[in-house]
Amino acid sequence: MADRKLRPLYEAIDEGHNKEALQLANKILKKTPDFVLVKALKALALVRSGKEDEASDLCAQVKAAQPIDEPTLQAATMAYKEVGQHDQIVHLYEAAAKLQPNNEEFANHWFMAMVRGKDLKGQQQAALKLHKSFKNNKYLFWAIMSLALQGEAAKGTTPNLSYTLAERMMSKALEEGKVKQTEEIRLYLLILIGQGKRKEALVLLDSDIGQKCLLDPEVRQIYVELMTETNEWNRALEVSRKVLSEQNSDDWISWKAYFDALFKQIAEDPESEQRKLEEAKALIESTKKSALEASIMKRGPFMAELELDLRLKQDNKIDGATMLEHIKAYFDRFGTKPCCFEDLQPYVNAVLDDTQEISSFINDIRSLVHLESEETGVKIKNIQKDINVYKLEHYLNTSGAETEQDAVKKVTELWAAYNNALPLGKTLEKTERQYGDDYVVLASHILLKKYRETKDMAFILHALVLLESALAKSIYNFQFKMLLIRLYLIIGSFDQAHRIFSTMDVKHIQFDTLTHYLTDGSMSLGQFDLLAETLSVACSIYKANEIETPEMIVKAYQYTTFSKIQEFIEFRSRLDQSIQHTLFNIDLARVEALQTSFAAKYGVQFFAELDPTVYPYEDEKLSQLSDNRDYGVMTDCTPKEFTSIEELSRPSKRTNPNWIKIQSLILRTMHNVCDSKCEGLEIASELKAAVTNEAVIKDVTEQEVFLGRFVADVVLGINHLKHAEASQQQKGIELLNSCNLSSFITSQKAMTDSTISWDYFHQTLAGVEGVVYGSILSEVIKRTLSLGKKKKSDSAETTDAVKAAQQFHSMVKDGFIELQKKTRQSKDTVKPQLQKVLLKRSTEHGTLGEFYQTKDHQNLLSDILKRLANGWSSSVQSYLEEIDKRLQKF
Amino acid sequence: MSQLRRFKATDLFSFNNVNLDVLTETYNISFYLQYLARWPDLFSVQTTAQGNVMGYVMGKAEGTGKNWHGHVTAITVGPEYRRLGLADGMMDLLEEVYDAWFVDLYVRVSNAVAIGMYRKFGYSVYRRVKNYYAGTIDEDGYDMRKPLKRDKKRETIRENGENVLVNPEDLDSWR
Repeated sequence: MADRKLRPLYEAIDEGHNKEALQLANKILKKTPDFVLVKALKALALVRSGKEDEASDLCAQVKAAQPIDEPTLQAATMAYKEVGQHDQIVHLYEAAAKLQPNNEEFANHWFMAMVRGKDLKGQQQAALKLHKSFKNNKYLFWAIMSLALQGEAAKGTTPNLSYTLAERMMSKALEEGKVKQTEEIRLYLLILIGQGKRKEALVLLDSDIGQKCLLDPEVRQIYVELMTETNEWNRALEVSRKVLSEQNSDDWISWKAYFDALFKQIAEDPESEQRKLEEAKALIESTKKSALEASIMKRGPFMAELELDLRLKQDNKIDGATMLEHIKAYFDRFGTKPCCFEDLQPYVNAVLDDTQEISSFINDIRSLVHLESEETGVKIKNIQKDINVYKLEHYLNTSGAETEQDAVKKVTELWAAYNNALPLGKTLEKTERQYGDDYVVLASHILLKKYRETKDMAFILHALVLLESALAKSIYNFQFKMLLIRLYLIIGSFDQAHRIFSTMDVKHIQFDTLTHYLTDGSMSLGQFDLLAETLSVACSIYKANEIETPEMIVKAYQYTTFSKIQEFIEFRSRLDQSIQHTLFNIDLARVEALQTSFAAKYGVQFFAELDPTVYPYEDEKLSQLSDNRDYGVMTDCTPKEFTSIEELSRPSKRTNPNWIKIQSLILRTMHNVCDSKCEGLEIASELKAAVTNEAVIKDVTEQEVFLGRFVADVVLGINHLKHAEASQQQKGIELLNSCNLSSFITSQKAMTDSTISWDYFHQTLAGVEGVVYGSILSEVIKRTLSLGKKKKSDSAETTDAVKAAQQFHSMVKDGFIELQKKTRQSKDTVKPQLQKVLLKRSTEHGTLGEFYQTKDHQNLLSDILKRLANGWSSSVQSYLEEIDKRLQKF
Repeated sequence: MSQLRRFKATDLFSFNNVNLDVLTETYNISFYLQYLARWPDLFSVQTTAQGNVMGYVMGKAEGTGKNWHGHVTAITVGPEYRRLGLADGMMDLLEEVYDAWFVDLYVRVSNAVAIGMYRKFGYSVYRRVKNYYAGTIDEDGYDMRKPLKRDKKRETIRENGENVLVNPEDLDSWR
């Protein structure tokens, strides 16, 4: 009967009809108030309707009832998970397991609950109990794994009892014949290697059972690593030689191990040098020979030749000419592969330093390119080869793009090469790239560099034109997209950057690693709604990590995949501690602060209600943040000693812990001063110390430093005003008077048609944040003083304080007026004729002008300018609105 | 030249070179981690000497009896690293590890480049699955198979599989 009654309730929950589920649950509970399962289901419906408090009350009732039936436990587990109280699930199952000691499933759940809750000691005890009661070896290994994790956590302390115990239990299990699977040996290995017992680990793999594990390629790799780490050079050499000659001559791990061992042997026995090197060369020759005979030519042996040269070069045992010949031969053989450039990077660097030598090298390899071929296939291959020459030329800094004329000449040359390659790609699938795309990437790099040197917008616009038109031909080329995003941000257009970014289908884990390309520093561009939406969506990855990753760690235990557990734990914690999450939180709070504070009292309320705990500022906490942002996606051929393209294309400095420190402290200082429950000067003083610390402020902009100092001074001033003593009050008045908000705003420049860039918008944001925070603080000052008034004393000090408050208020107002004036000027700049002005500037440009003599090219630029102007205009408008609506009420 | 090793959970932080390519799908955390938890030796990555991800393969083993087989869930190589023979090295790996009867995979019927590559590796079409790829435009998929050593009589494959049309719901549970 219960089943029939419950089915509609389950269905309502499954289908997400939470309201209906609540009604059904209440109906049943009215008749049977102690139906624990229904209580648990109701808790689930409650939490899903956003009523977390009620849900957790109900959960507590369920827990107190000590349920032992699976459906109730399951429902309660889900509810607890969703209210975020994972630790309570432990108690739930612990109680169930105690009530029914023979129920293996409950004990399993109890263990898993502790795995999710990261309770290593608890899970160890649960596993031991499981093993004792149910005699399954799996549980023994769970216990050992739990110990190994405790050992790892206590690494560095001696004696490390957890490791010792884990090792002892493992060796006993081995003796008793309980160790059978590769993963169990892996567990043993991680215990030994974790303690630095590499010799013992090697002995284990040398044993019969260890040898059986060598079927697994990863165990083979560990095996060789252990040999090198324990200086067993002969064995390491032999094993890697065997892999290379008999199995896979393309295996770079083995080549590295082989050379490491080889040179160690030579160092130990210098007389053997000649013989050893001959052996190595023979190995390279024989693997080369078989590579040449294979259907797909492997690069391994040929690169090994370069690697051997490089190692000999370090001891000056080879002349540059020989090495260079090998490099050229490699280029001739593999220059048709896009990765050839990456392959050669370390080797050309080592052998070439003289300009003369470099340019003759470039000439030599250029002569190996045969673009004149009539046959399409051959021609395509030679285009790739040609691109590699350009890349190497760029990398060795001999592209001769120093002066503006030369740079533009190079760009024109690359653009022509790109256009020559286009007809060959007519039959390519839409998903593929055109053959000459990298020409355009290189040309954009040159233009970006010129922009950085000259601040002449025409260079950025030109790069946008080239990239946009090339993107139309290779609509999925993400290299184009990454560059476009960055260039649009530099030039102050968030909506265009966002348009490109949204075509890249960034999702899941990429929210954490790639969103920064679009969002870092983008708040300055004033498109708050679009930004906030992007940030909120991206934050979903952290929730996913909370829910999904613990389940996967549990799975790894269930499948006894011990080699992955530490890895999963590391993955979970890197996302948990992600620096990007904090950056998202900060920008979301800043956006919300602006959007809610149109009247100062709402601003006070917003900051009062802000949860300060998600904004770390303590050095220890900041140092624990994990930076998972992927900066390695963009193609870059910049010489090592130069600023990378990633850095050059960034609108501002890379956000880092120091940036977080300043921003967190600003938010927290505002919180403390707005929340009447908060006391103390500590955070404001921390902020003051941070903005005067050279080591910190080197990583933020001067505008951000100003804002920090402003907030700190005013809040410190307010705290002095709270005191009754005259001297304290005087100090407060002085601090308030010293905040030069108006001169900060007066010194800002309005936007002109030649200064449109992220920088302009950034100072505008700082100005707006300055006056907005100022107006909120002014409100706080008023409240502080009127509290003081209750004493009804009308002393001179109070009058002074009131005067100071009025002065502060009018300073903020002046700030608003000044900012309004400036922003209106900027609005004039972005009028429709701006497009014409900018177009004209490009067509009449000294070096780029020629390109825009054709109508087609002019149209391309016009299109882009039109879109840019729209974006600029809406950014300026959005700032103006923020200012206008506040000034009305001021 | 490459370094072939097991895929690590933390590789998810740096596989963008490959995953930003439009034909490579990015899945949620559980998808990758459940493969790693269950078939850690069937999920491998190749990196350059500098450590950049070049490509990866993820697979699983499933089925019972003569249906005990390996399945290639995803195989992908970044744009810069194509035509180097990376894919066949990674496919070999899947064929070695378990004593399976065959390996199978699904591919869009329109993806001629990939189909050609798989044929070269010894795969043939076993059947055509109607609307296997559901999306804005539905598309049929080929179920391609390669028999392994254990299948001495080549019982697990058939000729003219292109003409054997099945509905997705009629596939075995281990698709």
